[in-house]
Amino acid sequence: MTRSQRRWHTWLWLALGPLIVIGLLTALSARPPIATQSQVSSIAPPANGVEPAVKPPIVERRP
Amino acid sequence: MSAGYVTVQWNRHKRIYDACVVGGIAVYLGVFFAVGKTLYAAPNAISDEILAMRALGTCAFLLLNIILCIGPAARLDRRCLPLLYNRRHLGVATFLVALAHAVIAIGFYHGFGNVSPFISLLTSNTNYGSLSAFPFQILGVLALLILFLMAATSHDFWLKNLGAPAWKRLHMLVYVAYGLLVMHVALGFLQTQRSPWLAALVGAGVVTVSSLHLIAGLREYRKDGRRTHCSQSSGTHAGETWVDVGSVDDIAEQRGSTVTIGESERIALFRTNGCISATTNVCAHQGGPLGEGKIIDGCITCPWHGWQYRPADGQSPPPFTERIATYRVRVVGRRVEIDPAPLPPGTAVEPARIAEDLK
Repeated sequence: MTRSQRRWHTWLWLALGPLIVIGLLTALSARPPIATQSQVSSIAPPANGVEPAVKPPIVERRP
Repeated sequence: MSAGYVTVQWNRHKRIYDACVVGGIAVYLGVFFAVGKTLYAAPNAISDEILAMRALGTCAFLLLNIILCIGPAARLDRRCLPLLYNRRHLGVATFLVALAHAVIAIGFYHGFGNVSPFISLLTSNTNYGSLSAFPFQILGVLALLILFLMAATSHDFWLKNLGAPAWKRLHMLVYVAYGLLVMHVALGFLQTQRSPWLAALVGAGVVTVSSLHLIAGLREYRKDGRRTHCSQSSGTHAGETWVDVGSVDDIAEQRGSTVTIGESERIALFRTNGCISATTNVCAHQGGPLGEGKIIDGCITCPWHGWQYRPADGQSPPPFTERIATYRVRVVGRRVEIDPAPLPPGTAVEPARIAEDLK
C-alpha cells in the first residue's frame, strides 16, 4: 500500500471501529424488557375459561 | 496477471486451502445443527429452517470476521501471509454462505404470501423509526449486495480492467458491509436472543477486528515516521544525490528490506548473488510490500500474492508485462547508497556489486 492508503486506512478504522461499537451498544440497550412472570400471568386466560378482553401481543417470528 | 486470464488460478496450495475452507464450513454447519437439535429439543424445538438459517448466518458472520482479521494479522505476523494469499477464495465462500442464509430466510418469512417475497421483504416492516422493531433484514440485504459485488469482481480480470486503485477502493466496501452486518445481527437476532454470551461474542468480534486494524495501522504509521537517517552526498552527475541507507549486512541474501527517505514512498532493497538492487516497495498488483518479500527464481516476489519482478529492471518476467519503478543504487565500502529519485517503471539499473571481500 502507498503511504496515503495506509494513513487513510488507519483513520478509517479510528472512526469506523468506535462507530460500530456504539451502534452495537445502542441496539443492545434498545432491547425490549423481558416479560416478568406477573406480566405473563396477567394475560393468561382466567380460570373460568373466558378469553381476556385484550389479546396477548402476537410475537413476530424473528430468526 | 497481464498474460491472460483463467477462471481460477488453481495451484496445490490453493486446492489444499479451499478444501480446508469447504471442510471447515461443512463441519461448522454440521456441529451447529447437531448441537442446536440437542439444545432445542421438545417442547422448545425450533424448525430445521430456522436452525439452518442460524447456522448459515453465524457461519457467514464468523467468516467475515476472520477475513477482516487476516489483513492486519499478516502485517503484524508474517506467518499469516499464506492466509492473505488465499483470502479471495474465502471471501467468495463467505458470500455463498450468506446467500444461502438469505435464501432460506426470505423463503421462510416472506415466501408464503400472495406478494413477491422481495416486495414483502421491502414492505412488510417499515418501522424505521424504532430500534427494537427496525427492519433489520434490509441491512442484511445491503450487506449481501456488497458481498456479491466484491465476489463478482474478485477476479484479476476486474482488477486489471478497473485498475488497482479503483478496485481497491471498491473492495474497501467490505468495511461498510461489516458495519451493516453487525447492525443486522444486533437489531435482529440479538433483540430476541437475550443471552449475554451472544452479545459478548459479537462485541468481541468487533473489538478484535477494529483493534487489529488500528494496531497494524499505527505500527505502519510509526514505521513511516522512522525515516532513514541519511547522510547525503553529491553524485558524479548534476542533480544526483546519494543517500546512505544502511549497511549491506542489514539485508540477508535473497531477501529484501525497506527504507523511508523523507516523505517519499518506501523503497525496497534486495540482495541477490552478491548484488544490491532497489525498487519501489509498492507492488503493481494490490500494493503489496515488496521489500517484505524474497527473491524466488531470481525475481522479487511479492509476499501478498506472489507477483514477480526482475530486480535489475523492475519488469515482470515474460510473458507478463507489469513494471515497477527502480532506483539507482551503489555500494561504498559496506554502505548502501541510493539516489532517491525514482526512475520510470521498468528502467534497467545496473545492480551494485558488493566487493568480494565484503560478501
